[in-house]
Amino acid sequence: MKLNENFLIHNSDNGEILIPVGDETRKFHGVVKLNATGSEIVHLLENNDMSLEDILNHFYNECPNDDKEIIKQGVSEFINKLREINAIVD
Amino acid sequence: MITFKIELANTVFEVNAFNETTKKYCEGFLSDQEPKYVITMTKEDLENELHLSNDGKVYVNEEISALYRRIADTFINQGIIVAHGSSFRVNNGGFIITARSGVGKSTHVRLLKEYLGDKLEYINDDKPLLEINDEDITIYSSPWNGKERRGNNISSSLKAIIFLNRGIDNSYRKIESKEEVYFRLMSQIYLPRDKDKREKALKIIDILLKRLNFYEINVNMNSDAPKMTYERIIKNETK
Repeated sequence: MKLNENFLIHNSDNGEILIPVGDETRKFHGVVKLNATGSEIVHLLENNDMSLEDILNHFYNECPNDDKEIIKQGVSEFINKLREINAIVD
Repeated sequence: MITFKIELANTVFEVNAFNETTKKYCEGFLSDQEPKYVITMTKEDLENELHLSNDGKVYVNEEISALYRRIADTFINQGIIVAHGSSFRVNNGGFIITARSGVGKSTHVRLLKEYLGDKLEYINDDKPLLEINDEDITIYSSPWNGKERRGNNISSSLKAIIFLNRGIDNSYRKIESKEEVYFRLMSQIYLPRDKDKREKALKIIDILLKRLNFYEINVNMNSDAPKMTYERIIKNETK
């Protein structure tokens, strides 16, 4: 999966947001405020075609002392939310 | 087609429109100067307009609404964005009172006008233009001027943006948290659909956040409401 190119990541002093552009503005009128993990995920998907497992492995390697189940739950929920607004494409 | 020229924010547009009513709507902004941009309306512009507006409503009619969008999309390239709000000038300071449609921003500005008389000049009652300069943010009027068509073809240095809520009692506060302002402001600024232009608009919003003061007012329809807005906010900002 990759980040839908009709979504824009904007970085400002107030943090990072994900916002639709082009045709996606007709379907999703909101803005996603990104925390540090969300930001990392959308940047990974912006530049790479990755599976859920690839993303999970990225975080498992980055945070080896953290509970894998908690990482999996958080990442999966966020990916599902991105799917709901069509921000990622397979 | 009907060809006419309008000057907005010191920029002249030649407009080629289908309807005479579009030219008439722009009265007060007509120009005979050399245009910087030429905008030719197309059937596609008009047909798309209903789909492009988020709420499915057009502004007066399809062409007037589509012309607004074409001009807003053009202006973004020179650092000018369109805000949604009722704007006015007092003591050479510009202000925008903004809220969702129907909350009462125009009513509050009308009450302010009754309170301040000639001291307050309407700039634009719905879609003012904001230009980011090195030193300043300038607010200009536009033909897209709300139901009452209250406005004058004037400009001013923008001092503050005021978010209005309806309240039982009148109260105000300066919003110190830029994060709190960020999303409220974003929803009151025209964001082009095009990716690069939308990015530019977001960068302009970042500049507005850095440079402007923001307030929130809760107001009822009593005469104390405009007095509070003037005494507590406008007067301080235009000292």
